[in-house]
Amino acid sequence: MRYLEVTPALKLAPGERRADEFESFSLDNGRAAPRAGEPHTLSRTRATDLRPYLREIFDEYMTHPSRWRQGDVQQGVWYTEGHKRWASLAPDQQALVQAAAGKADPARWNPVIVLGRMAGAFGPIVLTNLTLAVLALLVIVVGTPDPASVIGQSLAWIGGPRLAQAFIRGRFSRGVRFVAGLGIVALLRDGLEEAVSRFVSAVMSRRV
Amino acid sequence: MDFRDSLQYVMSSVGIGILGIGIVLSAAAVVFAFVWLLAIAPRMRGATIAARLTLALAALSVTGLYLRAAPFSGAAPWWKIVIVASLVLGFSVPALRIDAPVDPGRVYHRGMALMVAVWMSFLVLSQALLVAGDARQGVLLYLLAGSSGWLAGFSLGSAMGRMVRESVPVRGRETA
Repeated sequence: MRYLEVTPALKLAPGERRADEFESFSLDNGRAAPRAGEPHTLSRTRATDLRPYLREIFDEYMTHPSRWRQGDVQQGVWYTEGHKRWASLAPDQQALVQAAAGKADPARWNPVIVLGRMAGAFGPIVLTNLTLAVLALLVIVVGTPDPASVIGQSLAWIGGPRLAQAFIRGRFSRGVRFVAGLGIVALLRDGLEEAVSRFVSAVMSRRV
Repeated sequence: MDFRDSLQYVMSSVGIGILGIGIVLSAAAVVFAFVWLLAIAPRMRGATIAARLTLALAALSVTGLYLRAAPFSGAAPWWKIVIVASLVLGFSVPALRIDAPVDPGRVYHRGMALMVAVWMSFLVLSQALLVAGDARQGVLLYLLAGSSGWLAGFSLGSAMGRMVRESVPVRGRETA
């Protein structure tokens, strides 16, 4: 963990000693601990600009620090993530969020919070699956002399022969054939095979 | 609500739509990837080194990308070690069995198909659990890491083994 900035900037005269106390809040309810090397800020964070009602909750707490408990503020902060239900908050926590946002249950159907929740749950899956599909396509292009027929067969198996025929006649099929026929792909396919084959032959002929 | 908030609302609504399309596309993509890998990975005919290398890179990079995602932070801290260990093990098994009798006419490797199926099953199961809200799935993540490392290692090891067998005649390797 490293701290990017400490505000306010501390200036001490020679020999002067000063002790400060800081309150910290977790912005991510689903994370057990901060990751090593992750930048932390003691006061300013981009989350207050991106996540609705977060700044208002902190402002309310800083304006009336004696009125609210730190634990209630923490629950209010986690509520802005969208994973906590309004009914699950204690009355003091609801009062804090309502005082900050100006209305009850402000996170409900808020598109920014909904998008944040969706991205948190589905973002890694979408990214992984699309990357996997692209790499699997690359395996086909590199691994077979006629990748379009393999894709056509898979389409026939998944969606029926009409879909396969539409693909074979379509532009995507021509694009796949074009990529498979590129010199760089042929070089990767045959050149790498030949280079590794020569290397293996050279190593084994020395051993035998 | 000021202009900035309104813009944020509109952009988020558009973002929800785009992400929704991405979710549908990714669900279709994983099915096609599964079929393509099952069709290609077990076949050993022709130039295989480049294809097997691409398959190994695909398995390792997709697993790495998935396990590095924020929801899995701290869920499986030893996943890199598991991947490397299973990669070495997966490479060693075909390398150590290089003298074993092999049917030269065999073009379909059922074991490779099984490895692809196991790896993708772990991936899809883990994704289903993640959608259900369970990011703390340590054992499953280790199984995913281990299966991907094994697949990558075995993929490279078997291709290398075949190349060695073709380049050097080994005593007692002939099939009956």
